[in-house]
Amino acid sequence: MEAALHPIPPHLAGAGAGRRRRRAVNRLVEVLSMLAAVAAVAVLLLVVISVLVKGLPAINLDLLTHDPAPFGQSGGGIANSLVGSAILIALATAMSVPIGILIAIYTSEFAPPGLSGAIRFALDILNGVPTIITGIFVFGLLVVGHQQSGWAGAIALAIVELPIVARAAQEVLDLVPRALQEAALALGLRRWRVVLRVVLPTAAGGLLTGAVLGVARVAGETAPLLFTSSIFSNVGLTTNPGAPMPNIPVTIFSLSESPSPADHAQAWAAALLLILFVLALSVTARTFHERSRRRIRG
Amino acid sequence: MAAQEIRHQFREELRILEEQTLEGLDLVIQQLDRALESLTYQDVELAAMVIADDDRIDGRYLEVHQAILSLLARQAPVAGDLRVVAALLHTLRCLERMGDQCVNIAKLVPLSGHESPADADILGLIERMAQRARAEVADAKSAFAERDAGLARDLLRQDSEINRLNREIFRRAVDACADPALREWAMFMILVARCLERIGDNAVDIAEQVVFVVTGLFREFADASHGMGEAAPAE
Amino acid sequence: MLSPPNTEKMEKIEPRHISAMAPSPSQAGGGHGITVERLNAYYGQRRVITELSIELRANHVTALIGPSGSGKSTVVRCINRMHEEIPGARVEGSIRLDGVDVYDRRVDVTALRRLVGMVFQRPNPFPTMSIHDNVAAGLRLAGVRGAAVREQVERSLRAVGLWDEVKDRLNQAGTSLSGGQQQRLCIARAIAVEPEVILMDEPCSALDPLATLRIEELISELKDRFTIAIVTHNMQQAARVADSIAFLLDGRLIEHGPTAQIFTNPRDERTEQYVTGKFG
Repeated sequence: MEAALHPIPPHLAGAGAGRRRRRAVNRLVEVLSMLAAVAAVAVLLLVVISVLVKGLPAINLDLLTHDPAPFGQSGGGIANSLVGSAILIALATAMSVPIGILIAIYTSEFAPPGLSGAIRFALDILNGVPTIITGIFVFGLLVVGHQQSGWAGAIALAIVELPIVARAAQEVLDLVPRALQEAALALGLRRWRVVLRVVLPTAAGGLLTGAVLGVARVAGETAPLLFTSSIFSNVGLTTNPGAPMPNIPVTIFSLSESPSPADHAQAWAAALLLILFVLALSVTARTFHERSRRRIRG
Repeated sequence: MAAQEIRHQFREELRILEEQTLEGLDLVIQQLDRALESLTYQDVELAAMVIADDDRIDGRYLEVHQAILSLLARQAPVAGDLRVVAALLHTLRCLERMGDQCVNIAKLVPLSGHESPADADILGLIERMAQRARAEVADAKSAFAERDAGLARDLLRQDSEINRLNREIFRRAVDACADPALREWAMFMILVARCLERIGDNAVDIAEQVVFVVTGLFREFADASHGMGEAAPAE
Repeated sequence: MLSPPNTEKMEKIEPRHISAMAPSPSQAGGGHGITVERLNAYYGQRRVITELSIELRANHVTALIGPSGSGKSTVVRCINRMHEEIPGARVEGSIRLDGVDVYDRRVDVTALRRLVGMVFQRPNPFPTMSIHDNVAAGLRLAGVRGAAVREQVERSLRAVGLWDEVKDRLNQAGTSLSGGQQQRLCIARAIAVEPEVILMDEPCSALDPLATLRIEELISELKDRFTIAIVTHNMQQAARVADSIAFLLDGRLIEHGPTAQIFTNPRDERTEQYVTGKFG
């Protein structure tokens, strides 16, 4: 009835048959892409939920405060691994963050454009190097002929963390408006002071985000540590990086290989702790990122 | 040239204002012709028409003056354009005054008597003076329209002729006063001559504006305060 | 009967504000002028300023006008040597401040920039610093400390007419102000170090009309203490604010004269065409 009363002119109506087919294709694409999105979220949820379900029961105070029980005995915990991991991550971060930020300052402020691009490229490649190769490299450099140690582990982790921190720092330093630097230069400030007093503070939020992302990445890196800091079955809680340090990823690995189901439960618990840690860091990184962007935009 | 299209409307507006102002000079010439005619033939009705028609000149003055102010406020003309605008404002004043002088002449017609004992010589001089004045106004208009500084400067030379005729008429009128029948009429003729002389002065003012527009320099051609050693009636 | 004054058109510059009278801290013995001689500026191989010579008179506002790409911003950036911050940029010729060539090897660039301040097109207060710290940014470098800093901050904020508006919130972020206030803050920041010359590169183009007028007023007040060069593409602004106007076209100086003369009777036909809007 509508068509009879208000005929739509052909240039607005479009060809009839094609119209129905186009609509069907639209719906199909919409549905497929939605399913893909759902699948991605579902996988994340599955992983988190299964770890949660398997790991939660095994979490108790003992787990967090005791060292592993001697062979054959039950009970014990993963306190040494927690402390060890914390120290390794702290050392790795202390090494990679300052260097990463300095690299970013160099490429943003001082390097000629060609060199800047080359460095970025190199960092991206370094980022993509399989961590097992990093592990072997550090193994060959520092472990062969000596012994495994926390230092070697930290250095391996630092090599993995560096490109992440450096690239994130580069992104955020480039975001700092040129106008601010010009204003500071025009006031008569020297270049290094401009970087120190104006550029870095403005980019601070983003730099922090980069650091947090770096930490999140190396918290769970296993391969580098396998080569450099994995022989610690009889080592209790230690803070000496001169010797191999117990750490969470390798502990999860070795516990899961053990015949004892109690050990398996501990492995799940450790996995749960690790994943919660990484999630927490990711959320923090996001918050810093938002705040930093708002600040730079003024 | 595409560059000219920027501010096309402004240029068009300015051109129209200039056209309207210069057309006003045509009206003045018309009024001058009729005033003289009414004087020569003692045509009181024609004189009345001249007086009434001055409203057209006054109306034009007000309208164009207002439009120029509006243009100034809206378009902020500068340099050459600004000089043209300033010259137009000045010219409008001059043409309004010239219109008033024509009215003054027309007003004298009924007063100068119906049966005219007129001195043919004096009348002849008046007519020549009027022709000169008319020519000056026409030349002022041309000079402005063509931006002809040479023609503008020439107006000064032409005006000296009017001044000479004015003095001549004055002399003859003084002589005519000896005859009581002519006396009053002769006095009126002196007044008419004065009006014509003022019209000439206004035309010279317009010519000065033309030179200003063209060169950007303003110089008075001649001033009442330093006339060339003439015994002209001062004002 | 009214007629224009019986005067010849004035051919020479009419002095307006030669203040030899009240010496301000920045003028030891009179004002500070800038003489540019045969300036040529390049971006790599491309020459953008050609044989430009101009005198910026002391305690005088000189406006640089011209179409986009005429080089006005570049000229100004050569004066405080910001031009060379761009990779590949170079300069030939000399620019003298009080007789000293700013491109002399012995001149320290950062010291020069304390004497020649700059205000940019978009207000750019440092976002991580408070209002107070923004104004003080250049001061602390000059070794000023403690109470002297506070006093100078107050003086500068008063000079730009911001003091009353911000005196109760000096610790708030510089970016918490409106656009016009931010620009005045940037001007305060520039004058806090007591330069001799202030360069302004289209300082009002990002501001609303009212803020623009306030800053123009400010410029008129500041010229007693500083020599000012302002780049602007707004001719009415140039007419309001400047004592003399320099017209640039394709990297060359076409004409430089008193404001009134440029806007009533320019000598060069190209200047006439530009100011009347026949091109641009």
